[in-house]
Amino acid sequence: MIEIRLEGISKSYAQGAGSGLVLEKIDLVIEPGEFFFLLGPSGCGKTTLLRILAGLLEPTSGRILFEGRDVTDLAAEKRRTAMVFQNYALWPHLKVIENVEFGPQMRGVEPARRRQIAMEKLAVVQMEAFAQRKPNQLSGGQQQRVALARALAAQPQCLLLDEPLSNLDARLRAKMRTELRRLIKESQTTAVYVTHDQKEALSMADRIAVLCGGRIVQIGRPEEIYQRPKNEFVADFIGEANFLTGNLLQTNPVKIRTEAGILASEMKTDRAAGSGVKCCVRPEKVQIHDKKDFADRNRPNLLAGTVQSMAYYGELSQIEVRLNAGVVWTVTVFSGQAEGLSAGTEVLCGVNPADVIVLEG
Amino acid sequence: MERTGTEQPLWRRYLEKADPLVAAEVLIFLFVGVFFFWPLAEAVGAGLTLEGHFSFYWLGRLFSNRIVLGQIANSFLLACVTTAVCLVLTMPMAIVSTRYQFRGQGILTGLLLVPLILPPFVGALSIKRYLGQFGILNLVLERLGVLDLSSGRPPDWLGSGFWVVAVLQTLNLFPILYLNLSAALANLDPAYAQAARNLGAGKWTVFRRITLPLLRPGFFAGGSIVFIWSFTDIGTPLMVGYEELASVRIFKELARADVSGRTYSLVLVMLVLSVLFYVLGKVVFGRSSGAESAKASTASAGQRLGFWGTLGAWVFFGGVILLAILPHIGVVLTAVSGQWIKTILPERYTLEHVLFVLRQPEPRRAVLNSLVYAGLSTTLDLVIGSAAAWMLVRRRLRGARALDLCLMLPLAVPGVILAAGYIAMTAPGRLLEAIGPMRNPTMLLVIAYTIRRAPFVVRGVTAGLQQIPETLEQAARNLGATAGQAIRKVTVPLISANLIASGLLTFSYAMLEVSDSLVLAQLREHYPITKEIYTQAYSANTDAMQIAASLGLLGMLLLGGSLATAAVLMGKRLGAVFRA
Repeated sequence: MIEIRLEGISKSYAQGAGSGLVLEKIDLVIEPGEFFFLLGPSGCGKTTLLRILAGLLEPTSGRILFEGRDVTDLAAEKRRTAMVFQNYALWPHLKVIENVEFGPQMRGVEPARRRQIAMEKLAVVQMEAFAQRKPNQLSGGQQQRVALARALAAQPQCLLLDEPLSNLDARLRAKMRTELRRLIKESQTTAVYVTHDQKEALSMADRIAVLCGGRIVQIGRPEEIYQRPKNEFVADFIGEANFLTGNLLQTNPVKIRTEAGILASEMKTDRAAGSGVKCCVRPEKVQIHDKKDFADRNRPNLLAGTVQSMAYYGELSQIEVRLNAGVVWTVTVFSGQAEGLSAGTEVLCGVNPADVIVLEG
Repeated sequence: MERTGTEQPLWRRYLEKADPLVAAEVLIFLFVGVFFFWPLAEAVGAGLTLEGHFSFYWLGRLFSNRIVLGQIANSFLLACVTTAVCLVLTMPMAIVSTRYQFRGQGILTGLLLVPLILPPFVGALSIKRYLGQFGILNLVLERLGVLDLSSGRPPDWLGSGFWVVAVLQTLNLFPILYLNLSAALANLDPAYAQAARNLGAGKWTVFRRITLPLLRPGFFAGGSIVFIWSFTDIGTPLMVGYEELASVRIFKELARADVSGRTYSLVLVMLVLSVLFYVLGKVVFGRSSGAESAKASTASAGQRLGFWGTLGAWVFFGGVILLAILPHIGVVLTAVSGQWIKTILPERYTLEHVLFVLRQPEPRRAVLNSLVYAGLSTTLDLVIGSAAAWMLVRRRLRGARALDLCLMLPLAVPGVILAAGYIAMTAPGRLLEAIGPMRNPTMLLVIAYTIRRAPFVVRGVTAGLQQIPETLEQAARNLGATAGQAIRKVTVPLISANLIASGLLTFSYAMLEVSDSLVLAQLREHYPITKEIYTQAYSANTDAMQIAASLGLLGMLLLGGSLATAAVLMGKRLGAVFRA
C-alpha cells in the first residue's frame, strides 16, 4: 500500500500535427490502498496518465512520487507497478501458469515459491484449473482473470488497470465489476483504474478523477461526482442531466430566474446576484404531475410543460417534457407512475431545492 | 435404371449439379497431382528400381560413396551457414527498422530489397573479377601498398568457392528473412513487451523471453525459404565454379543422355532431406504462437534516433546494401567494358556487347523464350493461385486446406529435384516423352515455373483477401449481385494491388529462374535467358564474359522494373508474398 502523488505532470508530443498537448499540469494524490478511477471520454489523456505512472511513457514535465520517493526517472521494470492491459497482453507462447509466474521470477523468487504464489493468485481468480492452458484457449473473461492474477502475483506497489473490462460482453462486464472490486480491495493494493464507462467508475471506485482535454475537471467520491457535478461537462458525461440557464435572483438562499420559471436551490454560490448561471437537475429527481389533478400550485420549483414523448424501459419509463420557452427535459420515473400520461398531456415538473445543482462556469 | 432417349447422360447430370467451385478445386488438385506429385513419384521410383524391380541397390551404393556423402554434407553446411548468417544480419536490421525512426529510413529499407531482384546466379558472373588473383581486391590492395602482385603468387580469395557461394547466397537471400522478421516484429503488439517490463523484466530479458519466442513463426516463414533455396541452389555454385555440392552433382548427371537410378537415388535423398528440414523447422519454429490474432492495443511509435544513432544505422544498412549490389555493379561494368585486364576499372567502355546480344539470333531468342515462358506461367499462377486463395479464405471449402498445403509444398521441394522428376516422367519411351527436354519442353518449363512460384501468388492473394472484410462481398450479394459479380466488382478491385504485385513477382522470378531452366532446356532453340547466360559464360568465346554479363544486365533490367512496380503497388504488404 503506497501513496501516489503526481505533481504538475504534463505530456506533449513534439512531432506530428496538432497542438500535441495530451496532459496539462496534473496534480493528484492517491491515498494508500485507495481504488482510484481516471474517468473521461476517449482522447482525454487518461491512458497516457496511466502509462506515465507505469513508466511506459515519460512525462514532459512534472514529478511522480511513490510514498514520497521520486520515481519519475525510474525505469518501468523497476517501478513495481503491475498493469492489466486493455487486451490483457497475455503472452501467447507461455502457459497460463508461466504468465503468472513471470513477475515473481523477475524479482528473483525461487521456482518452487513462485509456482506457489502463481497458484495462489490463480486460485484467487478461480482459474487454477486452467494453469496448464495457453492463453488463446481461454475465453475473454478467463483471460481477464489471468491478467489480473498475473498482475497480483507480481506483488506490486500499485495496480494499474487499463479499461480491463472493455473487451467483455455486457453481461460479463456487469458481473466482473463487483468481483474485480472485491479482489482488488482484498489485495489491499493501491489501484488506479482507467475507464470511459461512468457506470464502472460509479459502481467500483473509492474516488474518481474526471478528465477532459488533458486536465482534471473534478475529483471526488462517486456520490459527490454524481450529485454535485462541478460543471456542465461532468454533469453531462456522468449520468444524464437536464440543464437550464438563467440569472441569479438572490444568493442566500439561491433563486434563479430561468427561461422555464423560477428555481430555488439549496446550494451555496459565491457569485453576485444578477449574474448568469447554469443549473441542472438529474432526470430521476424530477417529479411529474398531471396538471389537471394537481392542486398545490403554490409549491416552489414547479415548471409547467407538455409531454412530448414517452419511452418504456420495463421497470422505468422515460418521459420527454417540453417546458416553457421550448426547453426539453428528460424525466425518469417508475413505470407505474407514468400511467395516465401520454403525448400532449399537460404536466407540472417539480424539483426539490436540494436537487437543483448550480454549475460553475 | 434404363436410360431413355429424353434423359441426359449421367456425366452431364453430374456436371449440372456440380458446384463450379468444386470443379475448379478438382482441376487444381489434378494439375498439382500430375505435374508435382507424379514427377516426384517417378523420380523416387527410379531411385528405388533396379532392372524393373524394387531395390535399395542405388541407395546402398550412394551411402557407401564417400564423395557423394561429402557433397550432401557440404550442401547441408552451406544451407546452415547461409541461413545463420542471414539471421545474424537481419535480426538487428529488422529491430532497428521497426523499433526506431531515423532520417532516410524509407530509402534505406527500400534499398534493402534491391538484392532480391539481383539473382546471385548473375552476380556470380563478376565474382572472379573481384576476388581472382588479378581481381579488383588484389589490385586495390596493391595500389594501397599492401600487396605486390609482380612477385610471388598473389592470394586467391575464391579458395574452394564454398564461402563465396555462401556469401553470394546470403547477400541475395537476406531480404526474404528481413521482410519476414520485420513484418513479424511490426505485427507484435507492443503491450507484450510492455507487460514484461512492467513486471520487472529488463530490456534483454524482454527480448529473450518474450520477443524472440514470438518471432519464431516469422523466422520459420523466411528462414525455411532461405534454407531450402541455398541447400539446393545450382546457379550460384555453377557460376562460381564450386561443384562439391549434391545439387550440382544432380545437375551434371541429369544433363547426360542416359540418366540412371544412381542419379535418382541422390534426388530421392535430397528430396527427403528437404522435406524433413522443412517439417522439422515447422515443428520447432513454425507453430503459431497465437500472437498474430491479437489486435495491437497501442500504436508503436518508433523511438527517434539521434545523430550518432542515425549515422550508425546508415553505416550498417548502407554497408550491407553496398556489399549486396557490388557483384551486380560488376556485372553491369563487365557488360559495358571494352577491355578490362588487370585494372581496377575497365579501360574502355562500349555498348557493343549489349547491342550484340540484342542483334544475335540466339541471345535474342533466349530473351523471347523467357518472356513467353514467364508470361504463360504467370497467367497460370494468377488463375490457380487466386482461385485457391479465395477458396481457402472465403469459402473454407472442404479440402481447401489440403489444396493450400499442396500449393505451398513446392517451397519445400527444390527446383532441381522437381526438374529431375520431369526428366524421369518424360524419359524416352514414357507417355509424356513428347513434352520432354529433347523434344519441346516449352509446356514443361511453363508448368515447372508455375508450380514453383504458385506459393508466392497464393500467399500474396491470401494476404489481400484477409485484409478485406467478408462483409463487403456480402453487402454486394445482399444488394443482388451474383457470386461472380461480387468477386468481379468488389473483391478483384480491392485486391488488385496484391494480384499485380504477386503477378509481377512471379513473372520476374520466372524470367531468371535457374534450376528448371538449366536442366529442362536442352536444345538451344528452347533456351531461356539463364541457360543462355550459362552457355555463353562457359563458351570459348574471347568476350564470353561480356556477352553473358550483357544478358544478365537485360535480365536485371526486366526484373528490376517489374519488382519496383510491385513494391510501389503493394507497399509494406510486399513482405507477405515471401512467406512460407
